[in-house]
Amino acid sequence: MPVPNCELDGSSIVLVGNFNPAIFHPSWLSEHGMVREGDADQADIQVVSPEISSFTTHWLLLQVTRDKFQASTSDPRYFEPLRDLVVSVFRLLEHTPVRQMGINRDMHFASAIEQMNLFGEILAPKLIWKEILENPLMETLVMAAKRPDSDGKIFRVTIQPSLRVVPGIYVGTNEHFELEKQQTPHKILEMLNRFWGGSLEHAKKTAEHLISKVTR
Amino acid sequence: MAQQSNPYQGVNKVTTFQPSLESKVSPAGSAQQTLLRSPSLFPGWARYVVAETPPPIGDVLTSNGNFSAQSDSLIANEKRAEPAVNVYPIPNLEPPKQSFRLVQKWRGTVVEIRDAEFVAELRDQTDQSHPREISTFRLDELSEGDERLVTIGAVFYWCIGYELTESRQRKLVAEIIFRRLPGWSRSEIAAVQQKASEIEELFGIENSTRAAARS
Repeated sequence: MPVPNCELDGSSIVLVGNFNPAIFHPSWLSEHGMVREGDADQADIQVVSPEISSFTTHWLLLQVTRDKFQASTSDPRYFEPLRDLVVSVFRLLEHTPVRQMGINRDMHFASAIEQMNLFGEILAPKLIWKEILENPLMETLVMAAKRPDSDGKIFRVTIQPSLRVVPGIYVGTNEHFELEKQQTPHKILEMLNRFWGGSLEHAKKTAEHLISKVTR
Repeated sequence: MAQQSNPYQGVNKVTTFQPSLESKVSPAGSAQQTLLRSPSLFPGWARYVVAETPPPIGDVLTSNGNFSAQSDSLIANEKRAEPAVNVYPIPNLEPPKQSFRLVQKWRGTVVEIRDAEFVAELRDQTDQSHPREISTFRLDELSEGDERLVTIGAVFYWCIGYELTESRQRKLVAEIIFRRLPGWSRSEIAAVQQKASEIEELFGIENSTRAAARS
């Protein structure tokens, strides 16, 4: 069977702490040189308020509430700029209390129905289910593990049929980092710089390893 | 048979991308997958449910920032998410308007600047076993406003890949993206000085920070 292409590849960084959403505006980012002026001018602002800020530029989706900051991109050209943006934001907002971080990757592989069924069968064999259920189908599989050589508490892999690339297989990963207590972003940024590359690389390796089981 | 304990019990899930029921702050073009219980989209895998902790019953954010009540969660025996204000991006089930499939990526460092071009040392990020290369780029290849980022030592990414446009046309695209990082913050400088002092003390060297302050 042909090797599926990763048609859609995205990444996001989520921080949990105490934030001031109103400050997050495209013009604030461009004023501090974190995004291009053109990107800020063309940004699509859904809402900027004391409770929530949400806007998109051509490569960035930023959503901030009082307890969560999330920056995402679905363009693999901008994975490093995404990390740099988060580092830049919290170097500026250096007294923001932060306690948790998630490094996430979302991959959608184009596939075929037969390949998907085979994949589901390999990951969750139906034999014991068929003893008690009629026509069992795997919908979601979440595997929790730890990534080697990482300070992350947990590395979670989610497999689902893709809703974005149809027919296709979705492989999502989430590596969760936690500090013992809420503190300034310095420690979290240090973790981000240290583990971000490895986390995304491991996500890709994991997806390719799994997908290879139905392509060989 | 002895029961196997779950080593991840109690590990917080909040930095997982959470599923949505309500919010209209749509992650347009986002690759993230948020699933709702839905009718069959294709025969093989039938229905889908949310993979993560469902949103709490109660207040969730809506598009305009107001709160509205949700009736029920999707998975009854899951631990409730914190009833605090959270972002629940709605699932965007449309195919993304455009996407980019990366084929090759280099990390470049500017080593020389000329009138209308600059020279950079490149490291292949796709296959790191490849040797370093030197290449020359014209300044007019850069996006508007990025010329001022071209300084000796500046880092950029040179990406080549296939872009699928809104009209579903596939194009081979090359783009140069310069890194944008602000200067060091006061606390970062203080942390580095502190570390340097510790190392100097370890080797019995005079504290350079204090010496610099004296001079």
